[in-house]
Formats: sequence, structure tokens, C-alpha cells
Amino acid sequence: MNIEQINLKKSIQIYDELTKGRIISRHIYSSGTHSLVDNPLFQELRENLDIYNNQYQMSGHELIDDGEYFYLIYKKLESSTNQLIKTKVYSAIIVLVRCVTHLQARLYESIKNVNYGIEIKEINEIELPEEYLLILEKAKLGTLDKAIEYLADRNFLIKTNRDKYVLSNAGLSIVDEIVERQNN
Amino acid sequence: MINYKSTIKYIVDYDEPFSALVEYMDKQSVTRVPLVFFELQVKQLIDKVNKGTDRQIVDAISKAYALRNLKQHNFVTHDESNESIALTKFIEMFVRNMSEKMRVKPITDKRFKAHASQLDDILSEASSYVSKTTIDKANFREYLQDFLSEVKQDFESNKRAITLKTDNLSKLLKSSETQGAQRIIYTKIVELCERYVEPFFQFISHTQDKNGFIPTMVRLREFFAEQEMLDEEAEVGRFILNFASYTKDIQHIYDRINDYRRKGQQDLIVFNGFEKAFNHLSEIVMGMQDGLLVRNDLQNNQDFISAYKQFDNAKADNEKHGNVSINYIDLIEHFANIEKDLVFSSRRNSQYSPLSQDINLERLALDKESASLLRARNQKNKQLILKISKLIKQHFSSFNKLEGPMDIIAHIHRVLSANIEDYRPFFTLYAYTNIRKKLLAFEKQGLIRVIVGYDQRHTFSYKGINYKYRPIIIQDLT
Repeated sequence: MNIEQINLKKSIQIYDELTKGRIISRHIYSSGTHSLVDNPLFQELRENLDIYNNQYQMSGHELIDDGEYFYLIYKKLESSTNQLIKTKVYSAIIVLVRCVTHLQARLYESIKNVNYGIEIKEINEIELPEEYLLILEKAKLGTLDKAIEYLADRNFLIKTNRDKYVLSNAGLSIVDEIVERQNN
Repeated sequence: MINYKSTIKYIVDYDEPFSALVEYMDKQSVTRVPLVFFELQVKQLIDKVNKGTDRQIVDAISKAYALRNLKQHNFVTHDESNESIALTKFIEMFVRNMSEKMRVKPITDKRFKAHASQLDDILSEASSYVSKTTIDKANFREYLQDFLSEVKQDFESNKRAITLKTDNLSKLLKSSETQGAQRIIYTKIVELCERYVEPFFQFISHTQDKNGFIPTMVRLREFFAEQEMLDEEAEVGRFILNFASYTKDIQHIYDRINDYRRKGQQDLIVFNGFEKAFNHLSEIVMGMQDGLLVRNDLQNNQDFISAYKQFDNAKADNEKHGNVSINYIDLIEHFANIEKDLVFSSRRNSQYSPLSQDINLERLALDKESASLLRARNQKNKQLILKISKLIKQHFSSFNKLEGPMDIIAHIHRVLSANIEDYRPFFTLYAYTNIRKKLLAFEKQGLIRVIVGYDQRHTFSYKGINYKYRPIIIQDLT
């Protein structure tokens, strides 16, 4: 473990992102090329994982490596019964993807391909059925556009230069997990 | 009216009215069809399916083909001036592809497996060919020719059907205007691939195995050569040669449709997975609508939380950076030490710093003085209030037998100013608010009448100052 190989500028950015409860995904959006490119922060974490693991363990946290993204949790012996963040993330993704594929009758491709994406304006035009509103309320997300903003703020969604949102690596992983869970 | 997807589904499954429409358009070389013709086709379809079909399906077909529904989903345009309808471009292509070309049905792999099994039987029967009678030999040859012809036809027909279906679905997919329609086409592609293309491709892939279809065919050709049945040998030989290009064609179709299948399958898996996930979440949320506050938060619901594995104890976004957990025992010990230090330093200060003691005493004296002043003032106020109450009781306990209308404010002022030494005008106001309730109660009992002079102003003077007030006049009704 050699601390000198750490890029201090990137480590500060990583700290800033993770401690704000954000995800660091494998890819980020490049507005110049309108495509997904490698995330330098993800690479920095991947290349120096041991050092970063130590750093966050020393402050009472744990750096979680999902393969496609990293995030920070409180390192506790027992899991808390109150999981607001988890509830918000999963509820928001379930409601959003269901809304796109069912209510908008669009293909899953439209929320994962950077050339398509979903627009807040379109989403706001949908009259959401009662059950959607109830879930959003109980998950403390408010409205669907607020849920999208929440996911985007935490890097589960990527905003393109066409003001459209697509799922990031973290968002795609969550979708895969939900689908896998339902099919088992 | 029914939704877009269901409408498409019923059009796919029961396409006769639209097929008839397209046929009519072609025959008459027109783009619009009389509405009555279309309605007749729908009626015929309903009459047809009515027998032995579930009532709900019949109703759904009827709703799907209702003009209002079709217009709503932009499948037809209706011209009210001459009561005619026209299909939109998308639906016209959709129907044309379905009704005219898609009727060529592919063959399942079961049939090809049956052919392979039959070929094995033929080969084993061929080993006893020499010992057969002339009639049996003739029958065997005929049976063999039929078999070869049938196998060849099946392979050709299946290749054509799969190619055509793949082409049609690809075209349809590209021309479909909405993604909802695309999903239905994807469903069809996945079905085509899984029912026909994939098993057929698997069958063909194994035809070159040691005991596969082709080596068995080679052995059959060798048998014919031995028997000097040259026509049959040549026929089987051609079949084996064609098979190489045939495999190549199927491989091409397979690769093409597999791309669509992968995309369509992923979409359908996500679509169905999220249907279940949403229903599960919705059920949990509905279950929380029982008014029990303890269970009223999704974030505390273990059914939901335990369903997914990521983000337990995830870092919250609204906390300060570097927030760490606190060792409370350690913290309490620190506080205990701080407390001791403070007590000791305080004692030292009191011993060695007389100045601080003087200041404290001075402050204490001031506090005492202000406290005694406050007590005296409170005592005085209390006495004053008691005196006013006594006067009210004495002079205003009843209003019987008034000689005339009484201006109660003026009257209170007179009484109080005459009996209280350091009278001040606001005492009158205080006294009036105290007897006001009593006045209203008397009025309610019908003993007196209270008139408020909203538009009048009276005046009383005290120490040379005039005070204006709104008069309250009381009259005795008894």
C-alpha cells in the first residue's frame, strides 16, 4: 500500500461525492461527445481500493464496491431498522421504470440508451394513478419529478445535454437486481 | 374504450375486419372505405367469435374495434362528411404484413426430430433390403422417395417461413410509430425465435454430429450406391450438398433475429420484472394504510427493506462531512473531568479574587432591591384590584329599578374616581370589562336592555383631560 500513488485532487473529489451520499459509477456522461466515458474517480478508486477502504474505515464508514459503482455506508454492527436512503432509491427506480415502460409504454431501451432518455416535461404530463402517488408519498419522495431529481443528484441517473435522463451504471445495476429478485 | 396495447393485441389476434378493409381498398383502388362496410366486418367477426369464446374476449374485441377507440389510438381517420374511414399508415402496414404474408407458418423442431428418427429406421430397414421381396423393395423405394421429398419440402418451407417472418417483423419494428407497438412486435419476435428459429437452428447445428442427420444421410447414400440405385443415390447426394448452403442461410437468419430477440427479451424481462416489483411495493404501501402510525413509514417496513440487498445504512446526503459515530462513555468521562476542573478553578477564584466576590454581592443587593420593589408593586396592584372589585360589587351588583337610562361608563368613572385616591382613567375600562359579562347575562334574562352607541361619543374629564368613549346605555325592563 503506497499512499503516494493517490491522486490528492481526485481523492478530495471522491470524498466530496461519497460523503454527500452520492454514487461513483463506472461511466460518466461527456456532453462534448454525447456519450458515456470512463469515470476518472471510479478508476482512481478501483486502482487504489485498499487505501480508500482504509480511509473510510478510519472515519467509521465502509466503502461498498458493487463492481459497477461505489458508495459509502455507516459501518455498524447491526443494520438500522430505518432505511430512508435505501427506501428512496429503490422506490424511485421502481416507480420511474414502471412509469416509463407501462404508463408511457416505452421500451426499456429508452431509459438506458444515452441517445434516447426521459424528459421531466414528458413525465409531468402523465396523470399518475393513485398507487404511484401513494408510493411516492410513503417513500418521502414527493412527486415523480422530485424522485428523478433525487436519483440524478445521487448519480443513479445521468442528465444528458438534451435535458434528458438515462440510467447510470448504478441505476442499471439496481434495475438488474430488481428484475433478478422478481424472477427468482 | 380500451388501452393502446390491448387494442393492438386484439387487432393482431382478430385481424379480419382490417384485412377485409385492406382487401377492399386494393380491389376498389381507394384509400377510404365506407364506415358501414367496416361495421359489417366487425359484426361478422363478433358473430363468428361469439360461438365458444369467452364473453370477456368478445366484449374486448368489440371495444377494440369501436370507432371511437380506433380514432383515439390513431389507427383510423373518420370522415364524417361521407361516413368513411381510412387506416393510418402504420396500421395499414401492420395489417398488410400480418394478413398477407405472416400466414406462412414455420415448422416446429419436433417434426425435424421425427424426420431424423425416421431416417434411422429407414437405414436399419435398408440393411435387410437384399432379403426383401420385389414388392417390399418397390414399397421401400417409394417410401424412401416420399420421405426425401417431404424432408426437402419441410426444410425449404421452414427456411422460407422463418426468413419471411423475420423480414416482416423487422420491417414492422422499424415502421412502428410507438414503442408500445414495438414491445408487442418484440414479443412476437421472441416467440418466433424461441418456438421455431432457435430449436431449428439447434437441430441443424447437430446434424453434422457422428450420428446426426447428415452422416446418417451419407450412410443412406452409400447404401443406394451399393444397391446401384443411382437415382436415389443422386437425390440424397444433392440433398447433402444443398445442406451446406442451407445451414449458412439459417445461420444468417438466426443471427439477425437473435439481435432483435436479445433486445426484445431484455425489454420484456424488465417489463415483467417491474410489473411484479411495482405490485409488491404497491401491496406493501396499501397495507400501511391501516392508520397504525408505527407501520406508516416505508423506510421502516422490513418486507420492503429486506427485499433488496444494496444501500443498507447508506450515507445520507443531508449530514455534515466527516460525521463520525460518537463513543458516549468516553464523552461522559470527559465531561466529568471538565466539571471537576471547573469546580476547582471556581473555588480558587473565590479564595484568591476578592474583586469577583464584591461584584457578586453588589449584584445580589441589586437583585434583592428590584425583587422587593416588584413585590411591593404587586402587593399594591393586588389591593387596587380588590378595591375595584369591592366597588363593582357594591355599586353594580344589580341594575333593578333604574330611574332612567344609565351611561355605565360614566357611572363607573364617577364611582371609581370618587373612591380611589390615585385613580387613573384606565381603571374604568378595567372595571367595565369585569362587569360586561354580567350585563350580557342580565340582558339575556330579560332584566335589562343594553344599547351600544356605535355612532355616538361621550366624554368624561379627569385632571383637566377629556377622555372620549363609546357609551353603553342600560335600561331597566322590569
